[in-house]
Amino acid sequence: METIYTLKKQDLKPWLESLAQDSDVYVPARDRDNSLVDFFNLSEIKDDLGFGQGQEKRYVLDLVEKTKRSPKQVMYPHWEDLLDFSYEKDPENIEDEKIKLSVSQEAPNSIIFGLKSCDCQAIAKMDAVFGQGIVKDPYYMKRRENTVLISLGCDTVFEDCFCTAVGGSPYGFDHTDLGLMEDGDHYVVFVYTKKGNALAQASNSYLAKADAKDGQDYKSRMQERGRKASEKMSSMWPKTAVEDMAEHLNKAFDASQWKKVSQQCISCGACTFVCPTCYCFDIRDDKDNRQGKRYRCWDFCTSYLYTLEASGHNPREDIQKRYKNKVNCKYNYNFQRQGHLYCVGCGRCVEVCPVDMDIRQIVAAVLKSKQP
Amino acid sequence: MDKTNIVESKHVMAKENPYLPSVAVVKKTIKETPNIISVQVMLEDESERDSFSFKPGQVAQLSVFGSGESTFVINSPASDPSMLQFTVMKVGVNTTAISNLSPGERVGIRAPLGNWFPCQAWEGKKILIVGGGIGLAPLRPLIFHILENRKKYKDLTLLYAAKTPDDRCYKADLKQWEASKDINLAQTIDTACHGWDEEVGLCPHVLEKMKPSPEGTVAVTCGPPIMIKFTLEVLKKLNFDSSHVYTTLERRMKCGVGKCGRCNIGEKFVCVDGPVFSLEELEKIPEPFI
Repeated sequence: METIYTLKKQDLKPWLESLAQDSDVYVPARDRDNSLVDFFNLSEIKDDLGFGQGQEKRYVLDLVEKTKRSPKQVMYPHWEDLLDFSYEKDPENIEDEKIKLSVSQEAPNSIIFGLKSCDCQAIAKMDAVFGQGIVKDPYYMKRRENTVLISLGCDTVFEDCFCTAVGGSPYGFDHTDLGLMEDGDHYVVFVYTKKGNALAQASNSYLAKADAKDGQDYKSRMQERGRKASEKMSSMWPKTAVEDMAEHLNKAFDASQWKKVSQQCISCGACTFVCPTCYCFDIRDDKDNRQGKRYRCWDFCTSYLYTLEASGHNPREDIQKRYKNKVNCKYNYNFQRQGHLYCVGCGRCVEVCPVDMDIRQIVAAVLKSKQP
Repeated sequence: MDKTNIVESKHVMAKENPYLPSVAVVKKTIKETPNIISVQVMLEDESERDSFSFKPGQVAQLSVFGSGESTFVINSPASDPSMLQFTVMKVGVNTTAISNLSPGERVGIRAPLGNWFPCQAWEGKKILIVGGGIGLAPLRPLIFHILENRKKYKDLTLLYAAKTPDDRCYKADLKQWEASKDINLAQTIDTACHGWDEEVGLCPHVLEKMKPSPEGTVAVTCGPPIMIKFTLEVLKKLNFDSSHVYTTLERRMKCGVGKCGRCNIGEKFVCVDGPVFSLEELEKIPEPFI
């Protein structure tokens, strides 16, 4: 879509606050201990984080820093009820106890502000898992349909970033609804989807339409900035031949390097927790007396319990097998299933790992071992 | 296994919410061995029951509400989908809850899930079935299918292995099959015991001794992982072609519809690409399937 708007920087917060009247608006903010930046619900931010007067600086709306976690939990919460059940006695026949099942699902209108292009790419990959295949996932899809994504182009390249190595780019706005470019005392707002268009039109007291000439200028500047940031990142971490990764990893499946590169892993799951594309879950029941619920919660494949069967048999009993599965899932298996890598190069797993494992180095080491 | 199989499978997919189970009533429980029981259940809703169908090899998520869901193959004849039987070894929380069920109690069923044995493609062939312990369960509806369509297949042979005579499942079936001309039944137990006059020895060894001809034969095996591993090795040694050898696999499944990521073997999901695989397919996956 061609329409381009501008937004004064001073209007950003009032705009988001106005949007928060009808939607849950998630924005990057610093937590109470000032220790991390994460996505928080704007209307709950004061209660949750103890924001008082004069603590506005905790909002990180310019988002030069990277959020610790990805925004996936907005559409795919850590825990989510799938159904409620209750055992109910039949009044006609007291011996007979029936089961009543019900589903109540919340899918509030949500807006996520401050995603980076890697986050948007990741959401597109989540959409493929939950929205395609033999059946759609109604819980995810309902939340997703009600969510609008507003992202911000990246000019700052962090040490852990490597989106260009896995097919992304710092100004890759292709899966966002609205894309923002910081420009002096204002933001340039690019509209990409119908959802984005509707939001922009409803925000006419904050957004001003750019005329055609300015629009053209903004567009070429955005492309230029994207090119620059991409170049900078590519120089730090060279582009991988994405299409060949699956084949190379298949060939390297039995490489002896796996043992060495995976032995550090302590199976803590932190990488999965912050990863924007990790989507695995467990389904569990919780019962209190005669009623309860079935819920799902995130799960992680480096855990011993992940594949442990009730019989005691475990197809991936050692960390080498589990870590190899994780790497292959991201760069091989999902490429074969979905046609794209399940890594967007956000670098969160590299940053969070308590034992300093770097998936980039690991993939490189394994692939190198198989090269002639 | 071509993927069109999966698309045809309707019941769960027809539901808007694939996680919402159908309620079923326990009709009967059968003690198979000291730690294995079979439960027979019937879908509570009549219209659901009437429209339900499955194919030999397909699985279900069976749940006792409050304990959780686990995956089991539907092991009753597919020709009568009004009553569904599951066989469970009491090893964990959910299998214990299932083992404790009594007639009249309610369970949850999400079914049918996964693919099935390509029975039609096997018509005109000899069928060799090798089962071990509770691994006879997924093979049982296949055996019934062949017996019900006996003329469409050539020789049907079942080699069934168990630790002891007591550890054999479906003893009533075995007795019938023993007397039947439609099926050649061989049974073996791990170590000799009083009153046992059939084979003694581990399943792969007995199979090797039997020397079944690979000519025009499809071999299907299921059992404990270690048994599958060595049985497949023996079949290869006997010159069975990988495309004519099938097995049905198990992983710790959760969603059953290819979302939760739990049951992958390499790039395949056991819940949608399996549980039935040909050895040819499995040999293409770098990750070991046992």
